[in-house]
Amino acid sequence: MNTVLIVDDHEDIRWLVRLTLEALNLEFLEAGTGSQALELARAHVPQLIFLDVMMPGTLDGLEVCRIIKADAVLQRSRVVLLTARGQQSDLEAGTRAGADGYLVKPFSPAALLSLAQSVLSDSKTS
Amino acid sequence: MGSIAVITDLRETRRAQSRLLERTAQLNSVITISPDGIVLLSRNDVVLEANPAFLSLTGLSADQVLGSDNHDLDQALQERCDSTSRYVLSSEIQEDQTDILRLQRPSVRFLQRSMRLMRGDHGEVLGKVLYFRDITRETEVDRMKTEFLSTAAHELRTPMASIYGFSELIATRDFDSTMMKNMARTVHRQAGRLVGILNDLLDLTRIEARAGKDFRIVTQNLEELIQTTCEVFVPLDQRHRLSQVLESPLPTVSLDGDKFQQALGNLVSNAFKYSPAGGRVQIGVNLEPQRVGVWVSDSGLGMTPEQVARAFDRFFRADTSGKIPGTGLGLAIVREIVELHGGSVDLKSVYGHGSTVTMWFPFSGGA
Repeated sequence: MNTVLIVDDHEDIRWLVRLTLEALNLEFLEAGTGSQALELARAHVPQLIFLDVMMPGTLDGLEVCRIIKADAVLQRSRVVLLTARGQQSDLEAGTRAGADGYLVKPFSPAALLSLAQSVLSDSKTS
Repeated sequence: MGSIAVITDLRETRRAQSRLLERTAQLNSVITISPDGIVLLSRNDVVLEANPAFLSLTGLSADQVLGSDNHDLDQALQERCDSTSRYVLSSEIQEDQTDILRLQRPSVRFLQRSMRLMRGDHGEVLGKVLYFRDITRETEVDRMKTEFLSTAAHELRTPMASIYGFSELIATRDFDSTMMKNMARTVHRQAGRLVGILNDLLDLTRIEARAGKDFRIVTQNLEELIQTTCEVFVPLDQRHRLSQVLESPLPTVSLDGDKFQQALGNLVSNAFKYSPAGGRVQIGVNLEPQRVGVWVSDSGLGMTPEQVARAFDRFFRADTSGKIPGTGLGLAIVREIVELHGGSVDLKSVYGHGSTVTMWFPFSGGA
């Protein structure tokens, strides 16, 4: 079973993502802060991580993404950033941090679902 | 070559001279009182004149500037500029161009520079005028507006994500009625947040425009006001972090109750927001013969003296990372409300240790 880690400081958004993907037969992990996210990622090495960019605390989403992508084991996880900042410079910052995808809030659950499906089938073949 | 006969009317010459002197004096005072920096260069680029505004904007002295050439002037200006942006030599500036100098010394300033050639009657070049307009303030206002808009956009997008997402799921999938209710509730709650943010934005403008004319100042029970505010603004799971330092019984005060609660609510929410590690928040009252101070204190992030100086500016955010939600209007609203009551707001903050904000209201001592 594929594992998906959902990281957002808003519980509503975590629920929205979980609900959107519930038909995919996945195991869900949730984190509300960057450091929690890293802890769970290290323990489970999820196939896919939905990562909010702006979170309270010392580690924001971009930082978490950089750490994941610099880690020999964790870098296999696909990271899709969820963010309320959709300007070109924000997207570029995400790419520089090594993110595999980007969804700007508000996002369509249908778009999130098809992105998750394509990322998960990619990671199976690669 | 023949000789030229010059007929001199002495009185006419004297009159012309005095008109010339008068005109020169007029022009000199215009240049002297101008808030914009003006530098006159001769035909061969020697500085003939630099007005007081130019000297004070650049921190240069008249001795340093007068008689020097444009290379010295450029060097002096370039030394004062931000080294990361390219400096254009004043000789390269065309008449219809302007550029912006980002001064780092003697203080951070933005100067818009332009150049005009001075021409004689026959169009011959007599020299040039360099003109420096201080646009620091408008640049700063522009920057704050942009920052405010991007923060406001971010703040609006977060509740929008729930509204947009859950409503799409409800419209496209089947759920049982309990689930449906929960989703609808979430949409509703987030729509409420959206409205809250918009209200915040509009409140300040409205309070300011009405200048307190719509305040309903009546005698209020201070303790009740404080308790209600805490109930409304502190979520249940955070109540254990709040402690009250209230001498009872508290006196009655003359206030607009709603506005007071709005101001105190802003302070209480700030105290929680800016203590992300979960420190304690205290709320208390100081009684003085002529005034009563209601204060909120946290042990959170705190602010630097520079941040404290700007904390009440509208759109100013101590947190620019966007990690802590807010519109940058909370403290501006607090100050507006308190000042319209004839009071004042005090902010003490130690970076890394927390902040205390006190709202002082006039008080006649009657209980």
